Amino acid sequence: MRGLVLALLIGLTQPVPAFDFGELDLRKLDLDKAVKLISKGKEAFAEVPQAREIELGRGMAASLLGAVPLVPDPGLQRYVNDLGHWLALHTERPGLPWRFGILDTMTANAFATPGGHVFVTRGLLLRLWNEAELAGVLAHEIGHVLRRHHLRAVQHRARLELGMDVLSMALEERSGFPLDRLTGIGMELYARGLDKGDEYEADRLGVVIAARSGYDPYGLPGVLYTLAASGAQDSDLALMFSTHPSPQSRLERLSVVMAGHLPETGATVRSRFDRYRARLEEGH
Amino acid sequence: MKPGNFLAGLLLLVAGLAVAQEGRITTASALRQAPDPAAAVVAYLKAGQAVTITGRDGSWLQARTVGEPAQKGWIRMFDVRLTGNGGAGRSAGTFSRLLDLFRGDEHKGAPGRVTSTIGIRGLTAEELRTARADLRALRQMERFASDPRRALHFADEAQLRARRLGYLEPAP
Repeated sequence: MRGLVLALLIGLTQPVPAFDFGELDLRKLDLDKAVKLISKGKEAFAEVPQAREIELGRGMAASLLGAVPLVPDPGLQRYVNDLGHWLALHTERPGLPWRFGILDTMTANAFATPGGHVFVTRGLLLRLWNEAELAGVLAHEIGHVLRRHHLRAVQHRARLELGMDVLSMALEERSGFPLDRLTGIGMELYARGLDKGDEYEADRLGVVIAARSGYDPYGLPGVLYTLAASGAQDSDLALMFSTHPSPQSRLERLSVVMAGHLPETGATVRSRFDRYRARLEEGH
Repeated sequence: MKPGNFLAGLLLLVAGLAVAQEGRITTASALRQAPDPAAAVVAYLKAGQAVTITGRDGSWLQARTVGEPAQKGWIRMFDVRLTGNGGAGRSAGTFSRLLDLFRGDEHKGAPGRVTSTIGIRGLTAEELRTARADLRALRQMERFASDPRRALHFADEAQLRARRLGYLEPAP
C-alpha cells in the first residue's frame, strides 16, 4: 500500500496544469494518513455531494437573512430572480435551485452561498446604471457558486481550525453533518472575504456569463469603475473594500483578459432597469 | 432621446466640464452617439488619437476628439488612457488615473444617486458573524424563485440574444 501511495505522490509532483496544489508540501505529508484516506476508497478530488452543498448554502442564506431582511417588494424580488435565472441558464450548472434576493441594507455588496442562493443589496443596486451592470454583479456571484469557492473555503477552514474533514462527513450518510458549525465558518467568510484569486476568477466568469446571456459584457467593469470612483472612505462600501481586491486591480485584470476576446455588442437595458430601480428609491 | 436621458447627459456635461482631461486612444475603436454598443457610430478612432474626456456613464466615457472638426461621442473606458499631467497623479496602475478622474464627482452624473437612506441601516462584519438563521425568511425568499419559462420571457421582453462564448483564460 505504501508503494502505491508513493507512486501516487510521485505522480503528483509532475506538472499538472489543471490543478493548483497551493502550498502542498510533500516533505510534510503524513504518509500514514494518506494511506488511510486512500484505503478508505476516497478519490483525491471528490466533491462534496450537491445535496450537502445546497444544504450548507441554505444554512448560510438563512443566516444572511437573519442579519438583513429582504426588500419587502415581491415584484422587485421576482425581477432579480428572472434575471438571475436567465444568467444561470447559460452556465454549466443550470439545474441548481437558483434563488436571488435583494437585501434591505444601504451597505453596497453582493453575496453567494454554495448551491445557488445569491444576494445583492439595495445599496449596490441603487449605484448601478443599467441592467447589464446588475447582470454583471449577479454573474460574478454565480461564478463563485459554479466554482464552489465558498464551499472549498469552508472545507479548508474547517480542517484548519477544527480539524474537521467536511468531505468525508458529507460523503458518509450516517455520520451527522455539522451544519451549524459549518454555517458559522461560512458566515465568517462574508466578514473576512475569499482568496483574491477566487474574486478575479469570478470576475472572468461573470463577464462571460453576462455576455452569453446577451448583455453588454462591460456591465461588471462599469460597476467596478463606480466603486473605484466612490472610494474606500464611503462607509457603505467599507465591508466590500475590506473583503475584495481593490476595484482598480480587478479592472486592470479584466482589461487585459477581455481585450479582443468578448463581443463589443450586447444589450444594456436601461428602461426596464430604471423602472425597478425607481421602486427601490421610492422605498418599496 | 428620452427627456430623462437628455437630463442625465446634461448633468454629465456639467459634471464633465470640471474634470475634462486629455487622453489617448489605445485600441482602434468607434466613437458612438450614445453610451450604448448599439448606438450609431460618429467616427472611427485610431490608436494613438488624442481625445478630451468630459463625462462618464457606466463603462463609457464621453469624449471629444482633438483637432478640427472636433467630434463628440462615447468610447469604452478600456480603450483610452490619460496623458499629460491630468489625473490625481497616483498613477501606479494603468487605470488609476482614469479612475481618479471621476472621484468625488461620481454622484453628480449617475442617475438619481443614493438619497433615500433614511431608516435603512448598514451591515457590519460583526452582524454577519453573529447572525442567527431566519428559516421563515429563507422560505419566503424561495417562493420568489423563477424558472426557465419565466426567464425566457424575461429575456424576450428586452430582446436579449444568447451567444456561445468560451470562458476567459487568466492573464499570464
